[in-house]
Amino acid sequence: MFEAMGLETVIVSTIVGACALSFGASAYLFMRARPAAEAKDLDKIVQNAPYHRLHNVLKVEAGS
Amino acid sequence: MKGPLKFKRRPATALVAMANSLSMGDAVPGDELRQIIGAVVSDRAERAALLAALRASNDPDCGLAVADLLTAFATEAAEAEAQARDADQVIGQWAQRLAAGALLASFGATIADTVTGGLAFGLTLLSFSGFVFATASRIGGRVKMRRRAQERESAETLARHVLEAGKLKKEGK
Repeated sequence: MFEAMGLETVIVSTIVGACALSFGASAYLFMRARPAAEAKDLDKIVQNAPYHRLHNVLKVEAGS
Repeated sequence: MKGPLKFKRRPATALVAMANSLSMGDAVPGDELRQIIGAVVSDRAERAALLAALRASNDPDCGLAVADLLTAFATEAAEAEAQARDADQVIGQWAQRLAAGALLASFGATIADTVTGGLAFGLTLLSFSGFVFATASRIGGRVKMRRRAQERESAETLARHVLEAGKLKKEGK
């Protein structure tokens, strides 16, 4: 089956294929490791938290 | 441990407010809750502020709700950690091995003169850069895995301390 292709072609295509697979897998891992996008600015969430629910449980200052 | 009479608006008090709001039946966006818990768990000052705020609160169930939220966060972090470990062991390790095999094969083909000239050089370069890329991506994935493990551990210990603080309060110490 491979006689017609020549040894060089077989070896080169095997190595290139293995490299392509490895590159693909590494790219996938890089994409996974990217930190997830933050939903909102932390300060904004802290300011907009439902403090009105705490009115007789805990005293929290109105300002920052 | 007695906290101040009035607390500032900070991640720790925001977490108490969210837990209280949840226990009263109000919805809180899950991503905001996750971000707040992440900020509280990873900061020592916020952890101390959370314990002080729970000691100062008048509702004994508040600590329970916070501890439950922290435990749920720890479970989520453990799941993410397990997924990252799977990806590292199933994909990362084999990507690295495949690239190392290709590098050795290109060396062998060059030495045996099966592949010559610019093509041989290009193959060696390609497989070497593939190996470096695979190693770098594996390191990136493992850093994420370790961060998740740390988040899980700190959330678990904080949940335990929150429950302890509630017990101490009940005993009036």
